[in-house]
Amino acid sequence: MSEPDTDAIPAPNAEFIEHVTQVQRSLHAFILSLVRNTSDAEDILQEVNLVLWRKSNEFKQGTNFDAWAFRIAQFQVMAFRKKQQRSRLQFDDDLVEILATEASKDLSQKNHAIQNALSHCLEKLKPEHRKLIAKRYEPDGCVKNIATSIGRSPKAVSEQLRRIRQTLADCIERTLDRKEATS
Amino acid sequence: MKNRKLMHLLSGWVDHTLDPEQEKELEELLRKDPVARKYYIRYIALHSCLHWNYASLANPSPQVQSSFQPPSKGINSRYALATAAIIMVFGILFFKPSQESLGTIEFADNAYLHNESGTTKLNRGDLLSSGTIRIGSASGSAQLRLNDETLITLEGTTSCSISEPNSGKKLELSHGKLSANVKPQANGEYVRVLTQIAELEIMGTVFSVEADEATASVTVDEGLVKLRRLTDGQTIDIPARHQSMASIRSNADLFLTKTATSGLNWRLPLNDLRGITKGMLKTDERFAYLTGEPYIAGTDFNGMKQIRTGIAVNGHLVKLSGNSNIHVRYRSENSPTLFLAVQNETGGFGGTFESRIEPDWQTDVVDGWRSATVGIKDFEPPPHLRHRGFTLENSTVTKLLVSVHGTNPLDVAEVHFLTH
Repeated sequence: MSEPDTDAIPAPNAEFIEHVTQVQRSLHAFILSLVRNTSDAEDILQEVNLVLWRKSNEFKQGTNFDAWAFRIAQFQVMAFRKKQQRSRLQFDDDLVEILATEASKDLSQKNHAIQNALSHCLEKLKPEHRKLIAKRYEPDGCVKNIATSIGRSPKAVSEQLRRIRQTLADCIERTLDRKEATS
Repeated sequence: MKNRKLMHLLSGWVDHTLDPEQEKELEELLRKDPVARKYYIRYIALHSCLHWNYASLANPSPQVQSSFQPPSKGINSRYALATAAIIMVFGILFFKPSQESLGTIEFADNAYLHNESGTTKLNRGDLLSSGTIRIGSASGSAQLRLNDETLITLEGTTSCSISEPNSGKKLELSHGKLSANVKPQANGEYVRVLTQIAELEIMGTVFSVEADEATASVTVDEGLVKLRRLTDGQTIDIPARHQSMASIRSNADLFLTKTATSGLNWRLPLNDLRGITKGMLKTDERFAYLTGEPYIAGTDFNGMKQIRTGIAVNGHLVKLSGNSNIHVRYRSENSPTLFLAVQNETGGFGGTFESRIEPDWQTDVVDGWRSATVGIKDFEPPPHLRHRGFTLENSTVTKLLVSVHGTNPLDVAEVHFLTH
């Protein structure tokens, strides 16, 4: 990826900057649902940000920014897949298209609520479980490295991570259900 | 999420521990089953959030420290996006609980401390440990007296982490309002306040800061505060009786404005909505008014959210005397409650007060609009503050809230503080 020529990029207005800032986490989740590998997702997110920046004058104020950003992200994912060729780590094009449509809708509505619910649910985890999750999600954190560092089998670590994520997923669903019931 | 098989496949998918057959099985399941796709999307959203939050799960100090080195370019560069994204990661912070207490709780209303020991409801007299204090309602508050006699007040829906690392105190205000009377620090150290958009350095100062994910607004009553905007590293010194604001919405030079001296009379400013934090401006054929917005006012003993509808205004609104009155014109089937948060004469937290407008205080009803006049003697502090001796006399109103229970409609055309 070449360095962008920032002088050639039009300066977007403050509202646009705010939109881009606020959509970052939803875009990351959207891209990750289509490419699996987190480092690929982060590279694509950077590309999407540059495209958003360059196309800022094409965005019409008052229209749905998130939907526009997700569409651009989907194009970038497709371009990435073409470059990479399809590998074992990726779903086929048809499934990616279905997932993109459904993820765009679900994440634009729910991702902020999921983030808020997660912060609440993480607080409920046992300290040792939170540490294990932190190890898994730090840069270069993976099941194999954790297993080596704590002297357990990769299968045991994988199983424990599954249980913790299940606890978090259940807690998030309950929190979202409660929020919907009270709103 | 009940489907055990699906959950196994999803966990293996994100951890890269599935064999080719299992990957094919997951792909087929997603292709055929819309419910499985919904679970997949939510699971990946969780996976993504955990990636973003990993820094908050680990011991935070070194990473937090380094993240606040400002980028060298202005906001009109892609670096600003990365900075903003980094800042957003720090919306939630956890700290190792310290074995030693940082101070005591002077009072607390709907305030909770979250740290590795769990979640604790704060009560007067409790020892204060490191962690994140959350105020759960718009009318809630907490006051903390640190061991060096520094007084910190958190008001309204607020989240603030407090820690005392090796050098100086550190307060991280994720969102909400923090006021403080900071005592001079040992060895010339600064108290640092971090918001998502700005960093403040404080030494022996009375000040307040209101912050959210996009702005940080600082008002200094005594002393001096150095404000640094994190998106471009620009700094400004804010002296006594001045204020400044950093915003992600603007890369213009930071500037100072003088704090308005609060007068003895004040009207709801329907031509200037800058201080109005709840309420939508509407007009009918004759006049403008604010229509109330629903908000979560707190949580009852059963954990149920209490919804109220109202309008709110923040700022140094008006100075009260013993014979001040508040005239209100509103439209609602329900009697509204007036809520005031005030600052005392030295700029410190002066308490909160409430008064419910009784039906016999209404002077007239025209086209559904009712008027009532409330004297400041009709206001009372909430029960947990009554022993503190707070008084409205000679205090300055910093927040006004007019609200009714539930989602009942409320329109407010006039609020007028009058001192005779």
